[in-house]
Amino acid sequence: MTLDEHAARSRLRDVAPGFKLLYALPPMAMVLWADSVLFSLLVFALMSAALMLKGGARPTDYLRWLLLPAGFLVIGTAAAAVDASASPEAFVVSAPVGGASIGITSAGVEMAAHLCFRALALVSCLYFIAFTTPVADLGRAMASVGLPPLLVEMTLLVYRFVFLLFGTASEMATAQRSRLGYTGAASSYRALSALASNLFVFSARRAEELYVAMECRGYDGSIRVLAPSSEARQQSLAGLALLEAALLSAAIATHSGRLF
Amino acid sequence: MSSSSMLKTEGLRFVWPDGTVALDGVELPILAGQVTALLGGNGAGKSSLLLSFNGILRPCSGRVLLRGQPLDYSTRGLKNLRQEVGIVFQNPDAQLFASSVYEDISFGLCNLGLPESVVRCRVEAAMELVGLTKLVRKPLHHLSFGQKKRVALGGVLAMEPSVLLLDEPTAGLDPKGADGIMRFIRELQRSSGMTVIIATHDIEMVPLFCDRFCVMDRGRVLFEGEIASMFEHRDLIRKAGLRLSRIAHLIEILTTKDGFDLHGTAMTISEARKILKLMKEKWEINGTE
Repeated sequence: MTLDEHAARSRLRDVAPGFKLLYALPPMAMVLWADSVLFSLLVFALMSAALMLKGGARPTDYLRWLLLPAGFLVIGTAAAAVDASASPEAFVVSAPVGGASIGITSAGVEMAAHLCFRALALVSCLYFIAFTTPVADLGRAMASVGLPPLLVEMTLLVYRFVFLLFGTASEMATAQRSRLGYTGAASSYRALSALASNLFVFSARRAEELYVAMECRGYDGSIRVLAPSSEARQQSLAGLALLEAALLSAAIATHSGRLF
Repeated sequence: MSSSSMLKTEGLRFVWPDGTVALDGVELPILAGQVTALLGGNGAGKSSLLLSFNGILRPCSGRVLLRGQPLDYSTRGLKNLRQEVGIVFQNPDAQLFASSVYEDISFGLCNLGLPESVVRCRVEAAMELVGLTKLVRKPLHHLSFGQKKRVALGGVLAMEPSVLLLDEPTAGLDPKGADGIMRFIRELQRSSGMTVIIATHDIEMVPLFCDRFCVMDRGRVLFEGEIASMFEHRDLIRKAGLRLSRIAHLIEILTTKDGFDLHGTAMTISEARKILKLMKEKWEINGTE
């Protein structure tokens, strides 16, 4: 299932997108600033709970999506933990390489842990939005806070056509595979280049067809559409403000007190 | 039914920039309140003709008349024209661009500059009409081909056109879906008195749902007339790379090759049944004598 489908099914779908953004975005800034494992864990728990308990996302689905950035996370944090130095005393574990030694320092481990949990918390904030808010709603929210209409239109058009392009690309690749494309390195390169150039031609033609079709419905340079009348549930803003204030004080406490 | 022509072309000629002649002196009246089938092989000029009716293609020479008035290609004129003459394309993916069903249907209406309440009212009516109310909030890429086709149709019908142009409405649909969409169009046409032009290869559907037909070949109109005269003009139809419906073909073979003496011709199952019933009655009378 794509993220898009999760968003379309979410129980939190009807909550105003602005409200969801207000819930998930400020904690991201706080996590970056507080730089504390405890606070990061708190935000991660909050976002995950909201997304599964309130939004109704299945834990297995959520876990599968969390594994996606986990690979990058492990490689990135491992690199932060490893250090090189001339003196082997600084390391917890080390191996001599030439004149110097490479190993893991306790400071490196701490930094890696901070990095890892911070990244995890940030990912959970973004996933909260992705799992509960369809891109179209997000686009409307962007427009309502006064982002330039051109940007919003482009975002929504790209969103619509990315699926079309993706579908076409995979159909083309299947057709190529059925005629023994992608069997070796050389044939893979050849097939891929053919696919890319075909996709380009396809996109150009599709763009022209679309333009004609839009002209037929009176397009004059700006896309005007009406969103479905919003049945958006407006949650209590006071509650949200209270939550964010509590989070902020926790962030300040962890940041200044250096809890961990 | 009124027999005045809603649309009319006079010596319409259109040449693509690469020199391909798409329309080569088309003379064609389209009668108001009728369903006209535009028949022709691939590259016969059907789609180009539809786009000329909508003012998308400007003729190199000749002209298109709507209600007796030549098309006005000014910005204002085109806006009015496109509200009155709506077109549904063959591939819904080429027509639908918005991120949800509701938004896409509202696009044409917003372009007409209608007030929001009117737009909402008409979007909802259009969705109800094409049976999409349950899919309002679905992203377009989650819909099936048939559903997308209905959305495309809904987006055009919402603009309440008096002429509806359909390019291959049944292509890519399963038999039930194809039949459903044609029945829907026929019923809508009957109740609203809309003029409908259908460019198609689906020859079986033509005698069932259309009043008139027009045969095109290499940018020219070979014939235009009532559906009932299709059988008579079968040579013309074959010349254009098309064929008769299976039933009509069967009747033709029975009379010309197998020596059956049939009363009249038939293109559809119901017409064929009438002929066969007549035959049966005749036999029974002969048998009792």
